Order: sequence, then C-alpha cells, then structure tokens
Amino acid sequence: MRVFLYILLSGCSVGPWAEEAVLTRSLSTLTPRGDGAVDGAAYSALAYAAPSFEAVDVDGDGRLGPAELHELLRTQDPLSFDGLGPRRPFTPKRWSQNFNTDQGVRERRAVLLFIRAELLNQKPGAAVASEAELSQRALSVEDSDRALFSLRDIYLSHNLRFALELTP
Amino acid sequence: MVRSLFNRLCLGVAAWLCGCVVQPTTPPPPAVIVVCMDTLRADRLGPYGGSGRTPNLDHFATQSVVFTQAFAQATETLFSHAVMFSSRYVSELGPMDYRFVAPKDTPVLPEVLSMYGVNTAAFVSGGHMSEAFGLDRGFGRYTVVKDWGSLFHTAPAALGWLAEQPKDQAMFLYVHGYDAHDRYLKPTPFGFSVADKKHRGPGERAALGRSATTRIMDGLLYNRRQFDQVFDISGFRPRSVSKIKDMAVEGRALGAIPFSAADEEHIRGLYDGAVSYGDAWFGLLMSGLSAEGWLDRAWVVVLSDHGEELGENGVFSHRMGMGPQLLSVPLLVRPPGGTVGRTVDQTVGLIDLMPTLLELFGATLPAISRGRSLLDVWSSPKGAIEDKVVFAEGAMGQITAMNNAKGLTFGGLPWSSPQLTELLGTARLDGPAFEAWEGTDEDEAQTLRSALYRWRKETPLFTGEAGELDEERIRILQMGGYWGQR
Repeated sequence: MRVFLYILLSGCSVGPWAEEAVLTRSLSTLTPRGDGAVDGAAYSALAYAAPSFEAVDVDGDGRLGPAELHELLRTQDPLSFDGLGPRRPFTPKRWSQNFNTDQGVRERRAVLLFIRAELLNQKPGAAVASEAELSQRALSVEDSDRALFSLRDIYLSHNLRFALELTP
Repeated sequence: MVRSLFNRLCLGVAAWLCGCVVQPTTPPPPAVIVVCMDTLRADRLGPYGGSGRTPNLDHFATQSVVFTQAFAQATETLFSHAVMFSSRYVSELGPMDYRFVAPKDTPVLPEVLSMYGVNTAAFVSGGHMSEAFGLDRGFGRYTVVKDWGSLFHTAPAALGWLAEQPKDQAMFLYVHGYDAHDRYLKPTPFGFSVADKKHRGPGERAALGRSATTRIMDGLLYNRRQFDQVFDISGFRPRSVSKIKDMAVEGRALGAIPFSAADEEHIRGLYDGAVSYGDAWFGLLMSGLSAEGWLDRAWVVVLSDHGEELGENGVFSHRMGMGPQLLSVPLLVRPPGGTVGRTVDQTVGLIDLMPTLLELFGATLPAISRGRSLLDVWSSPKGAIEDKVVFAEGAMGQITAMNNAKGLTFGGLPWSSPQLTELLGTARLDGPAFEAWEGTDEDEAQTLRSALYRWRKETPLFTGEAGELDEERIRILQMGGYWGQR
C-alpha cells in the first residue's frame, strides 16, 4: 500500500516522462539497430574525451544503462568536454603568436605569390613587387596585409576584378 | 440510537460528497513554457520526416498538436526572436545586422504579459540572446546562464526557478539552448552516435572550433582564414565564389582544403548527434516538469528559431540561404495534460507565437502585430485554421514567401532598396532575381510573387536609428564565431 501511494504521489517514478523512460528512449539513438544496447565495444566507438567504459558502467552489468547515461549527460559540459576548456579571449598577443608561426608565414607567402602570379598572368609587365620582396613581407602579419592591399590596388588600377573583398 | 447515529453519518457523508461535487472551481490562470531548440531543422523530427534521432521529441509529438508547415521569419537567432517576441518583421524593427537592437517602441510579448500580471522568466544561452541585443526587455527575470550554451545549462536553471513558483499564478517561461548549433560535436556518447569517430580527413577539423563549419563553402574548408578575408564585407557570402574556389583549388592560396563527400557526410552525422543530444536534454527537462506537476498545469510549446543548411547549397550555415532547410521549423504545442497527437497542415509562422500566447492569457494583441492567433486549432469546430502565405527576410537582403511547402525567394535587390517593389513586379520570374523552392511550379511561384509584392508594398520599413556595435556585442559575437577575431 505504501509503495502504491508513493508511486501515485511522487509522479517522478512512473509515466512516459519518468527519467528512466526518457533516458531509455535516448539510448535507442546510440546504436545502429536502435535497440539501445550499448556495451563496452559500442561505447568505445562512441566515446570521445570521456571516462572509460569501466568507469561509466557503475553497476558492472556490461551495458550503459539509463542512470549511467544520465551521469554522462550531467557531468560533461558541451562547451568544454573535449578538454580544450573555455576559449580564451583572443588578444592581439595571441593573434601574433598564432600567426607568426612557420605555417602562418608559408600561408601568407602562398597567398601573396599566387595573387602576384594571377596579376602578371592577366597583365604582363604590371609594376608588381618581386617574389623575393613579397616573401620577405610575408614574415609579418602587418606587412603582408599591407602587401595584399597594394596588390589589390594594382588590380583595380588596371580595371581588373579582384575577387577578395578586403576590409582594413 | 444506533440508527440515529447512522443517519447522521450518512447525512454527513452525503453533504461532504455534495460539497465536493458542486463546489464551484475556478480554472487556474494559464501557464506556458516555451522551449526553443536553436538551429533544429524540422526534418530531423519524426512527424516532419525524421528517422528516429529525436525519440523524446517524437514522444512529445504524440501528446501535442504538430504544425507541419511552420516557418521562421528570419534565419538567425537574434532576428528570429525579435520577430517572435514582437510579431513584426525585422525590416520594420531595425537593420538586419549586428547593430540591431530589439525595438524599444514596439510592444513585446513578455512586456505585454507582465502588464497583465503574468510572472515571466527566461533562461537562455546568451550569444544572440544576451542582454546586449535587447531581447530581455519586459521579462521579470532574464538569465543568461551561459553564452552559446545548451539545455545542459538552461534546463536545470529553469527547473530550479520553477520549483519556487506558485502554481496558482499566471506564468510564462522561456527556455533556450544552442544544442543543434555549431560546433556540432557534442559530448560522449552523442557526439559520434552517427558520425564515425574514426573518420579521417578535413571533416575532422570542422568538428572543432565554433566557426569552422561556417567556413565550409562549395566543398572547401577555409580553415585558417578570418571572415573578412574570405567572405564579403557583410560577413556573409563571398562576392565571387567561383573565383575564390579556383584560387583555393589551384593554388591552395587561401589555405582552403577540399572536402570529400565523406567529409560532408561526417559533418551531417555530427549535426545529427547534436540533435539527439538536445533531444536527451529536452527529455530530461520534460521529466523535471512532470515530476513537479507542471505538465498537467502548463502549455508546453517546442519550436526552433531557424534551421540549418547541411551542405545543400554548398554551405553548412544558417546565414546565407533562404531554403526550406533553414526556414521550415518544428512547432509543437502540448496543452496541459497532453492531447491526442494530431497534425495541422495549414501554413503558419513563428510570427504567430505572440498573438497565440496573448490570446491564451486573455491579453489584448497590439494592433501593430502582423501575426494571428493559432488557438482556433482548439476552439473551431473543425479544429482547423485558415491557410495563409507567410514571409521571411534574409541577412543578405533576400525575401521569401512560403505556403504549403512551396516557396519563392527574391534576391534581386536588398529589401531595404527603394526600388524593390518595382523590380519585384517587373523582373522575370525565371530570371536570376527569383529562386523557387524545389517542387514549386510556375503558377504557384506567380501566386507567391504577387503575395511578396503586396506584403512588401504594405509593410513599412524601419526608419529609426540603429544601435551601436559596441565592444560587448563584438566580444559575444566573436565567442560564437560570428565575427572575425583580429
């Protein structure tokens, strides 16, 4: 009788919106067959920067159960679950650190040399900086930006279309 | 003596029973909970053609009225919410860019409800919903739980607030999460529930970082570029796609990385995992509402402010296009206690939310509102509402008319142009200014074009002053990948 009254009054233990019912439904989305049977192997295929299956399978029954899924949902913040942590504000210093790398220089140099080649292809003899000079200017972000704008100006001075819309 | 006692007892019981039966009862004032699942495409839900990725929403649909032809009036969170809360079009309210601020001279839903004594609160995930953009106006309580967060952040906060609210008062609660928004990759076990964790390729890169997917264009990922170097000055579509593509493919000049079909499929899988993740949190929210007795007391509305393009037009974004992937949204309404699930196939818009809720609360709809109440679904004998053409406005100046899964977009001139109506009336329907949705025939397109013309002609444009693009707004936009980070 007491159990019956508890079930009747608590509201959270039965019914289609009981936590267990909700999570059982969600488990069905985790397996290709839709049966919700997530064992250790299935979990490994899904897991990403998360606790091991042994740590997640609290009751040790070899399957991810509704309560265990709830714990995963409750404890992993979608904004930082991958270990990257909250994003740091992007400061000029960080910008400089990120882009004054070898890769950044290579990339900027490739852009400048490509646009130079394009320009000379369309307008042979155009007064454009040499490859060596542009390579040198690619070493710094500010210099390569200025070079990019000057290349655009040359494009425009010859009434050529410049594909990139640049903003200072 | 015994008989006398027995008679008295019988009389007492009868009187008590009569009291129970004839006691006049006053229905409690309305309570409404709106759950906005940001960026959720309608076609991911079962009633809209989905394939089992949203079991909790699908179950909710069995207890609800499902509007199968519901359309958003804008494709970004800020603008779509401004429409929902004011029942007016963005072009009437301000510029469709990030100087936009929710209007101060237009009555908004929470403000009107507050005037009627309704207890109002919102638990939102910031970003475009942050106070800096003015969508908090009129709410008694407005809490940004986490910028660019999800129901993971807002559902527990909303349930915590609800636990302290009396159930005999009129109440309006708005809960919002960016669960299906990029970045699509969500926590274990949902992140790779569809996408293959072992996939290797540039699609992986798009899994990380807030703005990665919005830099996929025409089969290329512009991995290390800032918006202002790849996109046009408004931060949207590049001026010359083919040129940029050529440059990238031939010279890798922009550091662009070609995508394979498998990469695109991988990204779609990540999105679907995010949808299931949001569905799980929606289920937990419903579980909390059920446990606290709110499901028998409150109307629950589930909607999305806009959809998402998943490679259909070469992009993974909701900033550029005006197709059904972006504008068709889920709209489900569950009355207190639930109902036998059914569908309503007439065309409606999110612009109808405010009139519907105001009628529900017995409040007067401001005369300036453009939407209409959908409560006829419950009150009319046939349970139907009139069909109607609805409209949408795009951030690149396009306008779209929609009816019965048909649509026509006009992009010949921005909607702010004084020559717009002239060109709307004269441009060739099969020319470049118009684009019809798939399945829209010429007659239907002509009807929609006439509707667009009339609507644009009759709807005045905003003429006031725009807000300021201050540092706080830029900071918030940068966090969400909506602004260059230089």
